Amino acid sequence: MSQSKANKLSGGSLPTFSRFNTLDLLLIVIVGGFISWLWYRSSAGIHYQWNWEKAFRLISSSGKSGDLPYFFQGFIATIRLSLWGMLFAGILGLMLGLARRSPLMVLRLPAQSYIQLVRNIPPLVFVFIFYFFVSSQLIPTLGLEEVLRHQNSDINGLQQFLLGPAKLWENLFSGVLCVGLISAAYIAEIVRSGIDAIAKGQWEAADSLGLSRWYRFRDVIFPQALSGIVPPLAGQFISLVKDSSIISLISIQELTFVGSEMANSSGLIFEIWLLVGVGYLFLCLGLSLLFSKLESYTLKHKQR
Amino acid sequence: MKRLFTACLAVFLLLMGSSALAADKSTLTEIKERGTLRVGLSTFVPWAMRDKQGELIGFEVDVARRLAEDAGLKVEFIPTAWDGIIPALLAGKFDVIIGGMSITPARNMSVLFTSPYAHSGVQLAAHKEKAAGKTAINDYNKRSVTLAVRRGAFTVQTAKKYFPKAKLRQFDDDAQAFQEVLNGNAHAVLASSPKPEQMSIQYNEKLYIPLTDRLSRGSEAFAIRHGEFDLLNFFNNWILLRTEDGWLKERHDYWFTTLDWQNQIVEGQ
Repeated sequence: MSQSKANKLSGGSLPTFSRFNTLDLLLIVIVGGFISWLWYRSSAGIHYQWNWEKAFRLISSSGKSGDLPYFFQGFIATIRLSLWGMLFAGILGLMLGLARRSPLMVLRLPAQSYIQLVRNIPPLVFVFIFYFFVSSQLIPTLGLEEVLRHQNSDINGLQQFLLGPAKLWENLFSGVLCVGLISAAYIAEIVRSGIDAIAKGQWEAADSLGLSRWYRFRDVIFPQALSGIVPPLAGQFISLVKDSSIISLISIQELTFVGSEMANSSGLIFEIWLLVGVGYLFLCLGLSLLFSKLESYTLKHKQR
Repeated sequence: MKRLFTACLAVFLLLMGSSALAADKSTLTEIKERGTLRVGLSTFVPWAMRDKQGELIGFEVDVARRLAEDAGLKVEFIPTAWDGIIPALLAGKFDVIIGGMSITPARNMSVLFTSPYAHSGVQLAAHKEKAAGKTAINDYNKRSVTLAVRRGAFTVQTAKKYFPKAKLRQFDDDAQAFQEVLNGNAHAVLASSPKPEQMSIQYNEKLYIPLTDRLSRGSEAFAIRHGEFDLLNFFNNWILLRTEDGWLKERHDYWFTTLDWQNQIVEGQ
């Protein structure tokens, strides 16, 4: 549907770009040459005994009681962590973004300082600070440890599907909190800029219709802001998935952590790390596709 | 607004107070109440590693299982990245580190060590072409020599002691340190035995063991938080008993001098 529309938007058809010319050919030759040079260097310069067969057998051998292979447990843990993280970051980010625009100082000031703090320290440093100071104090204080730890018997299928094995709940919880808190600061800025981009006239028009604050926001401003929010939000969610690999350093048992354990135990370092890379690529590509669908959906109001 | 603030402050103080009260209990009492010993460890062949099915195996795992069994407790393993293992202990993520941790004075400043339950040696594996003919310790103590080691481990101190002039490259894992030598970017790698010996067999065209003696003897012990003296006494006596009856030595020999367990990790090695 969008082929003709896209052309119309960018002003007429684009004949020169669709043809294959000498420059393209030259570029392909250069890129191809570079790749084969790299290939040659890596086979000559890196002395490594590749053993893909063993690696595939290792990642596909199932667990002791016939459960999922350890590698895929890690993969699913990353998916679980990312989904809950996105949900948490999305909600917190939206609230922070709105609080940042609030006329009330009590809301605006804490939101702004949180956003500035998180955006201006490296994620890795935040992860360590969070884990050793916040999470280790917060979870016992809230009594969550007891709740999470003593849930070890009888969890039903739905809980197992959504939250994974009970003994890793505390682990999952701190992981979600950690990636969520980092991402929320960035999402807050995305939300704020999306709302700020709506012309003042729209607010005034909504006012003049006599809409209340809530309806003005819900029915007039937010749907328009959404089309500006979704594309950068997609990027943020994808980087959330990738950031989740950082928290392997605080021993959250996701794909990277599992990968490092398996690589060190088996000695198949490069194979396992490449497979871990493929896992993330697969996840993030899937997300990009999903978001491009969502994007065209939120742009519907512009296509009349 | 002022009232809201006061209320928040009161709740906060209450929470802090309750957590301070909870911290009064000793870890040993907590372990008994919980019925589970929580053990922190890090992947480190052959101390602790994952087998083909993703289960933890290794010398440490045997030790921790036996320890818990003798005390009538259940054991819970908490795999932790090596870099953060001491902070995680201090933050109370687990009760004890049983992770092949060597006693060093610097570490002892932040944790309590039990008496040693194992002794490891540090060995050097060198690149066959780059370090050809270098068979004395002094051959490696030169500015032109690059050594690869695992960061933060006992091997770093050994390297600094024996080879103060050599350039050190530090890596997160042993595996990366060995790869650096295999790629010809470093002359030799230092690691705890028996990893250097195993790797020089696996890559016998690339690596060799130049020195006949092990460099230094490390003493590995359990690490616990400062002030946990009843727990320390319990662990010390357990180690004493299991050293006396030869169980620790028998397990140590199985993991460190034989390769019977290799098939559990990867097929056909």
